[in-house]
Amino acid sequence: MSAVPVPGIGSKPAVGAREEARHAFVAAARDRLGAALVGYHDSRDGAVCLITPASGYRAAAEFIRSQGIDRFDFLTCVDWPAHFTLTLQAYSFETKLVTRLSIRIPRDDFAVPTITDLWFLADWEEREVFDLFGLNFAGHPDLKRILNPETWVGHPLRKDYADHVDIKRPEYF
Amino acid sequence: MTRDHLPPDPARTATGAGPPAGTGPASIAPEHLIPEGEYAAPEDVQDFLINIGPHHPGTHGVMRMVTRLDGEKVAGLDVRIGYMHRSLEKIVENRSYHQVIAFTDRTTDYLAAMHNDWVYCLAAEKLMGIEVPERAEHLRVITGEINRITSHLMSVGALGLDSGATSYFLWCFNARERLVQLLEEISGARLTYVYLRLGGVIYDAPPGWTDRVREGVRGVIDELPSYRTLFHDNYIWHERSKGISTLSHDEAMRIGAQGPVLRSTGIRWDLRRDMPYSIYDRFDFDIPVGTTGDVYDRTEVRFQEIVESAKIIHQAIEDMPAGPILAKRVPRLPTPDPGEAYARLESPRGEIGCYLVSDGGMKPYRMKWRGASFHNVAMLPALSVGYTLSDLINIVGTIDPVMGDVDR
Repeated sequence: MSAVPVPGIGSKPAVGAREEARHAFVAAARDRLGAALVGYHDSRDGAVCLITPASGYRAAAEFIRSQGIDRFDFLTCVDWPAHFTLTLQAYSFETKLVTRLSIRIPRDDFAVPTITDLWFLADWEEREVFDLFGLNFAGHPDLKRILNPETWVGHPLRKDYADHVDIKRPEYF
Repeated sequence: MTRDHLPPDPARTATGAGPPAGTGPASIAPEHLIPEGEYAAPEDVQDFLINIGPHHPGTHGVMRMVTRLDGEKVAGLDVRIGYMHRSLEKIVENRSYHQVIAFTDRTTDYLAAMHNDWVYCLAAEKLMGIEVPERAEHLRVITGEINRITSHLMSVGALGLDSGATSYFLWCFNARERLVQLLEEISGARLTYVYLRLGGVIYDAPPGWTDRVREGVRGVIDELPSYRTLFHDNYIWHERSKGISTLSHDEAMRIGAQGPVLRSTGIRWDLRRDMPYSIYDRFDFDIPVGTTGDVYDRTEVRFQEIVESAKIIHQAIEDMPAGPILAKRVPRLPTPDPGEAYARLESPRGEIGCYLVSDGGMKPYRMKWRGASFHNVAMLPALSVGYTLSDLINIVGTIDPVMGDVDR
């Protein structure tokens, strides 16, 4: 995660409608989120990535939805050694602007507010993150395991997950 | 679920005219017979639960639908998935970037394996900054569009089978078989191709293959009018499909509909044209749309997309240059710089995506698979509540779920 500090908006010339939409979006993000916006950067695949603290997650998601970013891509989690990164991606039907929101969640505090009321498809995605990573989404209407059986022990996509069945995983490399 | 709602079975009641005792399989000792009055349904019961699946031909795989019925109408639907979860994302974390390609076409949407390999390769190539040669891009487009046709033929054929048109299914399978043989000729496999590599494709087209593709695709397109006469213009199919599970623009956007389901509501949205990847911005093709978004329109959109795919195949063969098919200097054990990349692509079932995170090591640190069928199945209750149980089977057929893509 190579986040750069928020630079001045007028530093880059606007090229094309997509670039204009990007500038307008970033300007609005700085305006609306204020100090909650820790940083943003352009990913190497062209998405605008916003980074907020975990406490600003819900407000940032509401902001993205209010900007007409209506197409939900995915919600997922990455287990880094020191923290979890929760990443949400959506794009706009109108301007085709792809936005990504990342928050860092400390390993000892998992509560994140739900966004199922903003995007319909976030419902099952949140259940999947709960199932595979064990993150709790406060306010989710029906938070239960989705891919694994409800009796499953542990959260398999965590890096420290240990199989409770006898599978020895070989070291390939 | 109780048996209270079943009508009294005369063979099982004491007063019914069943076969004489001891003469057939229905003979029951008198002490085991249930008095007739116990079959009467309680007056206040309005709805009841029906469990469909996980092993049921109508669910197109191992999906379980717990259906609350009010009479014959679906009043509520609870979809349970996960019966075929093979933990693709965990496996990938223990494989090198090249090895992943063997998993993406088996573990996800196996009816469109070429597209699944493609989206993974797009994401990995973005992550590593690999340029794909021109000829490889054309071969990817040709094989991808052939695979789209085979997938759509399977989809509409299976829908015909669900609604009783068995011969239509066999016709579609016949046409599909001829195209699958073309893919077998170039990739060596019939379903899970593993034809794409990071930076290109693995085999060049055999001599005369492009001519056989032209011929084969044209043969299928020439047959489509007779398919239309057999099934799509059939009065019975119209009765079973028109006005069933209609979807408006706003509702489609709210539930995040994608692919043919979205286009059937009249929204002209196709990633191949609107957010072009690979070399799709060079081709001239139409995007078929429907009007009401019902079962009929969704089937019709798929059926017409076959013709558009054929147009793209002919143009791609026409333009295909000579040259290398694999990028040079792709390392055997790639170690991309730390970072993330996402690629999206229009698969036969909608938008699929692959999100790759690298920590600089030899293996992907994390891969998230955004399956089209996963989101299609998530919106199934929104599409089917209010229609009858027999319509539900058709509605499942029109969202065309592949359980490998749902459960991963």
